[in-house]
Amino acid sequence: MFPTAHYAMGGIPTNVQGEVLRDNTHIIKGLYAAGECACVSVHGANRLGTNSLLDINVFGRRAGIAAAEYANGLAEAPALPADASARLEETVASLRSTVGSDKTERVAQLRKELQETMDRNVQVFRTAESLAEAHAVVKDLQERYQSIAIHDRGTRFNTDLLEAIEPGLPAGACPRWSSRAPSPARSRVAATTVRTSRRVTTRTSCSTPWPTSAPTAPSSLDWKPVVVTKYQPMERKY
Amino acid sequence: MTATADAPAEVGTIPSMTVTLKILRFDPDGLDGREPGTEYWEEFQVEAHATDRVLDALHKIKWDQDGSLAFRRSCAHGVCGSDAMRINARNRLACKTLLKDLNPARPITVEPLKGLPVEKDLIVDMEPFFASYREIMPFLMTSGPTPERERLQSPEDRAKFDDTTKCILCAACTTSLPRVLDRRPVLRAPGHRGCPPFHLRLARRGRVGPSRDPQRQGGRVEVPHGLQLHRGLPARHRGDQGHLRGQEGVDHRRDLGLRPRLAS
Ligand SMILES: Cc1cc2nc3c(=O)[nH]c(=O)nc-3n(C[C@H](O)[C@H](O)[C@H](O)COP(=O)(O)OP(=O)(O)OC[C@H]3O[C@@H](n4cnc5c(N)ncnc54)[C@H](O)[C@@H]3O)c2cc1C
Ligand code: SF4
Ligand code: FES
Repeated sequence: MFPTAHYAMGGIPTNVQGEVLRDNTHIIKGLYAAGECACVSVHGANRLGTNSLLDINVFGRRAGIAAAEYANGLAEAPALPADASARLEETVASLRSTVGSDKTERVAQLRKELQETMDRNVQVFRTAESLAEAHAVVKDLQERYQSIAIHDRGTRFNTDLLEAIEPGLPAGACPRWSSRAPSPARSRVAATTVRTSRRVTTRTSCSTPWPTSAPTAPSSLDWKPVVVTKYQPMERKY
Repeated sequence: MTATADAPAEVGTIPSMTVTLKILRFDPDGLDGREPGTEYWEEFQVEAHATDRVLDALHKIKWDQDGSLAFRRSCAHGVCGSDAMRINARNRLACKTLLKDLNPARPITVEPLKGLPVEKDLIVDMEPFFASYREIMPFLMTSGPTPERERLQSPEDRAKFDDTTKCILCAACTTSLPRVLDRRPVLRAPGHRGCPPFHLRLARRGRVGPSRDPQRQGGRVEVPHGLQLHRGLPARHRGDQGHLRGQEGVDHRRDLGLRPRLAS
């Protein structure tokens, strides 16, 4: 038996029309997100069972309608930057160049260690120590990633290449994630730094938008106020 | 000699063994001096436990020995339908097949599903299968105005297609039809398409029983032109999911409001 992921909370912040938000007030024109990748912030501190599919039905439809309206109103499609695919092409070329090289690390091993530390140290209940440990492991993995080699030179269904890209180690998603909560002041939605044995969902609930203008730029933390309406935060009782 | 138990296992530990997998590979690119599209057998030895699954053994090969081995998998526990393949001459899901159920003392053969075009190694092009699935339109089709509230279904009608709700679209059953095994394409060009029995069963999902759409009561169901409809698949050809058992008695044509026809 091994753990698998059921659902990822959070995601690309959007408004109720599925338009992607750049910050708390501005949208990124023409970009839409819906489903598990998106965060309309309807789920609160934990997604309730069955609400993911409901979320998709409601906001997927809205996003589709909004996107169609936007596209219909345009005279022509906005031009993409000339180097839109440059970063990925570079990644692919550099991974391909490792076939037959003297590099010896396998991404499967790094991924396994990443999974183990995330599972042990960055789970729902985490401590400053466990996060610090995960952080160190991820840094080490990022260094070792420089020494990975893939085997497959093929151009079709090269799943070896895909698996080397998927863990996102160079982009550093994990350190950003694990650096998120060591501060005791930050209790994230659905991820709680253990301080007391009581579990309280309080005003400190916040979404932490994570601007990614440049993928290699240091991560920065931002806050999004939680608007409490009918249901007041209260202690979680079992 | 392909399986050797290690030194006597300690109490509570599961002994590991060396298992041989004989895999039918397909190279679309023509690497290492091969012609593009070459098919060849390759053997791999892996250390595994009897309780490991074929998928674990494939992962050991891909991750530790030869990263170029290509196969699909996603959920790794029998719910996504992406890793159906032919294991020891029978279609099964690699993630649900334990080595100990395969006589791991002998080489285990692994091939892509037959009857669908191979893309690379164990990956096939599922499109003909899905095209045929789309054509069947396995969802509720109603008539009349949209009601104010949801369309209820009686438990009896729901029970009629309960088995089809377990289908994960892995294509294991369809590609084990005798015609496929004879290397005759079961999924033919549009206009003359054999309809896999499971499609019919899925079609019943939306169309069985009048309770969800009273206006259709007793009415015939439109079936796309050119589809050949068959009765249930004999149990010996059922897919690995097991839920196709006992469908001999089921007549899909009758359920769809068509005249029964004998299985071909
Ligand atoms: C075991 C399990 C049980 C669940 N049960 C329930 C339940 O009962 N009720 C409920 O509401 N929710 C449930 N959920 C959650 C729900 O199923 C998911 O949140 C939902 O299916 C997500 O849908 P999605 O379309 O947003 O994303 P996904 O279904 O994950 O679709 C993402 C798609 O993007 C594709 N993709 C990824 N990367 C790329 C790329 N680079 N280029 C192109 N395509 C790409 C993927 O192949 C995939 O098809 C369950 C989840 C799991 C794992
Ligand atoms: S009926 Fe079973 S074997 Fe056939 S496609 Fe569905 S899940 Fe696979
Ligand atoms: S990997 Fe999903 S069914 Fe086997």
